Amino acid sequence: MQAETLRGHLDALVLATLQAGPLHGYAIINELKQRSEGAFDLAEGTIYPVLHRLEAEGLLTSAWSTAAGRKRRVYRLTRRGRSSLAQRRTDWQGFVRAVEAVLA
Amino acid sequence: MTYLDELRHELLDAGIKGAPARRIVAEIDDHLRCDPAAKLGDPKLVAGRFADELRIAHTRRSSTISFGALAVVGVLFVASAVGRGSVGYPSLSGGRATAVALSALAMVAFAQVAFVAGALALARGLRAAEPADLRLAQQRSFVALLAGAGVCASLAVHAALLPSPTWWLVLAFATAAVPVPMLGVAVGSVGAARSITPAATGAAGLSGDLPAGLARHSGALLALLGVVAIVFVAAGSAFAERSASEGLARGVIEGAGLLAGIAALGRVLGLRR
Repeated sequence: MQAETLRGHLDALVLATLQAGPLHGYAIINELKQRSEGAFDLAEGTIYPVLHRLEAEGLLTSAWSTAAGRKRRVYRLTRRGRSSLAQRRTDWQGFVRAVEAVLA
Repeated sequence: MTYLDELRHELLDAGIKGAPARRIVAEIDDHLRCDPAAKLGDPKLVAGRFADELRIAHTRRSSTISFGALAVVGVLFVASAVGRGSVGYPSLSGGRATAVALSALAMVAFAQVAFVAGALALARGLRAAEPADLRLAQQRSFVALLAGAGVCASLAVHAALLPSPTWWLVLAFATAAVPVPMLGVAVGSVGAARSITPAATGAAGLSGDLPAGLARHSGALLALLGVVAIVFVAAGSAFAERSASEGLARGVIEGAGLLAGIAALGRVLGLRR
C-alpha cells in the first residue's frame, strides 16, 4: 500500500495495535505487518516519530522496561487514547459505508 | 559510521538533542537488536520526521507551560499587591522615592506585557500548524516569560527599597523567587520547541488569533482593548486614590505605555507588520 495513503490512517492503526495491551516499538510494527498481512510495510523508522507525537498529545504513555538485559520503551494507551481510538473507529466505519454505497 | 551514529548526528542537525535524542537512539538500538536487517529508512529522513511530528505538540505544550508559569506569577503578584495595599505606603523622598516609583512602574508594565504576550502565545500555540505560526507562538512565549521574570525582579527591588512589615517582605520575596524555576522550565520547553521548528516568516498577525468573524476587524479590536485598559486604569486609580486628577494621570501613563509597548514589541508579538 502507498505510504501516503496509509499516513492519514496511521494514528488510528497504531492506537489499535495497542488496544490489547502494552507493546514496544518493534512489536507494534510487527503487529501492523501481521494484522495487515504484509500490506502495511512502512519504513520502520517512521513509526517511532508517530509514537512520540501520540505520546506528546496524551494518547499514549510510555516507560522503560528491561528485556534480555537491554532497555526497551513500552507504550500503552491512555484513557484519552482509548476514546480517541473509539472515535476514529466510528469515523472510519462511517466513511467505509459511504464509500461502499457509492461504489456499489 | 553505524546507523545509530548517523541518526544521532541527524537528530542533532534537526534540533533534537539531550534526553529526547538519547531516548530515540535507545529505542532504535533496541529495534536493531530485535531485527538487525530492519528497514528503518534514511537517518536524515527519520530525524526530519521526528522534528515534523513533534514541533506542533511541543509548541502547544510549551505555550501551555509558559501560560501556567505566568499564571503562578500573576496570582502571587496580585496577592503581594493586595497585601501591600493593606499595609499602605510610607512617605519617602529623594532618590529612594524615585527608585520605588520606577520599580512599581516596571512591575506594572512587565505584568501587562507578560499577560498580553502569554495569552497571545497560548492563542496561537494551541491552533498553529505551520512553521511561521509556531515560530510566532514561541516568540510570544519568550517575550511573556522574559516579562514574567521582569515582574519578579522588579518586585524584589521594590520590596528591598520599601520599608515594610516582615510578613509582606516574606510574601514579596517569595513571589519573586518561587516562580523562577517554573519560568526556567517554561523557557526550556519553548527552546526545545523552537530548536525543531525551521525559521519561517509570514505568520498572520493578530487576525490569526481571532475567530473568522472578528479577524477582519483586528486593528479596531486592538484599539478598543487599549481604550478599555486605559479607562479601567484611570477609573480604578481615581477610585482607589479618591482623586480624579490622579486617575487621569495614570490613564495617560497607561496610554503612553500601551503605545510604547506596541511600538517596541508589536512586530515581535505579531500585532503589527
